[in-house]
Amino acid sequence: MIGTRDRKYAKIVDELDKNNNISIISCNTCVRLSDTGGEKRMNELAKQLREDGFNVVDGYLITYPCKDEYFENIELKKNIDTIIMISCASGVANASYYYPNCKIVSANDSRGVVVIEEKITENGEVNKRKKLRRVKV
Amino acid sequence: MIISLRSMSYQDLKKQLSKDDKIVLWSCDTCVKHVGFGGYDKMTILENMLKNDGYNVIKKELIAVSCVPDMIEERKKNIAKKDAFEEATVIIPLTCEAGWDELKEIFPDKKIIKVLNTVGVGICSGKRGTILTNPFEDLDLEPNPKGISMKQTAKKLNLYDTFFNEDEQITTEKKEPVEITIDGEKVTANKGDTLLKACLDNGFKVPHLCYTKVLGGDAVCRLCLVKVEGMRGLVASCSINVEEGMKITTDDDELTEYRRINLELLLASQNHDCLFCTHNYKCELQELVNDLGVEDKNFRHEKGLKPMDDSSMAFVYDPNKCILCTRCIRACDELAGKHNLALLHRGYDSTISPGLDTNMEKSDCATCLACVFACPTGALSERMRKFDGKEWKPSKLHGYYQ
Repeated sequence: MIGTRDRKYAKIVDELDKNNNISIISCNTCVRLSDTGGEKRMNELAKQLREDGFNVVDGYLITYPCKDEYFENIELKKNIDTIIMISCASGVANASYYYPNCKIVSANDSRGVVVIEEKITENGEVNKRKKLRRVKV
Repeated sequence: MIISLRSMSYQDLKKQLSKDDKIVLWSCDTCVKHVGFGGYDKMTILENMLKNDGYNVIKKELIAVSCVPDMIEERKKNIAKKDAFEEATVIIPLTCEAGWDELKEIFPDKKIIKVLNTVGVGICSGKRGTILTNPFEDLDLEPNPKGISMKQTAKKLNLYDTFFNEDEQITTEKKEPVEITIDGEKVTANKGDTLLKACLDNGFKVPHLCYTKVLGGDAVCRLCLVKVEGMRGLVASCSINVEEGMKITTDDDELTEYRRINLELLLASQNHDCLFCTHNYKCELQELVNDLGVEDKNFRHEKGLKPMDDSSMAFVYDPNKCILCTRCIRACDELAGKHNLALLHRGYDSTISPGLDTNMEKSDCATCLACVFACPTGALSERMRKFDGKEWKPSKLHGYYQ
């Protein structure tokens, strides 16, 4: 499993402009299991950006942005000039290959390869993952 | 995708083994399979190489993912598997380093031989091949959005960019070879293999839906019917084992007619509305309908529509497209080890149900997608969505088979 963290909303907004026509694409595998992506976060991010005056046109939930065929099924509208990727770094890299004319903004920081384990601590907190090795981003 | 490459030669692997070792081969069915260093076929290649060299491979274990420790623990406790794991002295994991690390923790008394090195994350691409985009910090490589090919990565890190003996075709080892006759042609097959496997291994096309190479068959789709000399009636070839001297017919007008009728009955059992199905043109049932020339429904579908279960955040279950082949149940048992799916009710009312007749979200589902990628129709499909408009309204995106 590839572990990720949410990037702060302010950092994402710093890279956006109110004139941008934005699509959001979210991975529905590793980031969902890391609680940093998937349908819920994509919808929350879209709502917040729209409330703050950004033009979020549409959003796509795909299983593996790190596999080509999933991108090939997305028919991006012609006016889209900015993509927000909710994924690990490989999804961001794949988006920049598929949409070379778009600004690609990452909504996550990639950490590394992790295992997911759900162990409940004495305080009742769920200890959910264990990092193994960090990736360069 | 997590990118791993082979770290040792076959000769070096053999140096770490003894002929007395009882070896379990273990592989993930996700990242390592996509990058070409794992999955069922790669395990079979390694199994055959080791067995040909006199090593004792006692088990091949395919798991949906190895980065969820609960799934590994299940294997250790599983009543049908624990004996093999207790007996094993060596486990050879075809997993990323996360899986290898977990195996070391969960099986501390076994020798766990690391044959793959994980180097970072990247992309699996049909056009560009597998590429590494973000290497690990401790490696002397820089991130590259365009990707570094497996060949270049292997060269820079002194690793191998192909699996063991990549050029060798998957050979079907004949454990106890016997001679049988299929459609008048004498062939060899393994005694004890199913007739369906023997037919497919020898290049004879027999239609099937409930059988897969990994999961085996359950004799429920009744499409793999064949005639066996000396046996009464037509037999489901996935349920009969090979015996010396068997004479089998896989193709004649009568078999085609029965298979076609069975296929029409499967079509009539649910509401298969291909035009609006996310698996249109990617459906094994649809492919067989075309292959067997079914042009009309002679049996009417008279049931109402059953409610869909879209409670899972990873996939959707539409019982109206389910042919009850049980591949999802076996994938959940065998690959996920969750035993979360079962057949519920009887006859016309039969359906696949998670947990104790709850929905997917409330059940013990690990969302590993093993069931989804095992499904031959659009009954289980990836949760792929497009949201747009003022209301941010969701609509379906078409899914993919792996």
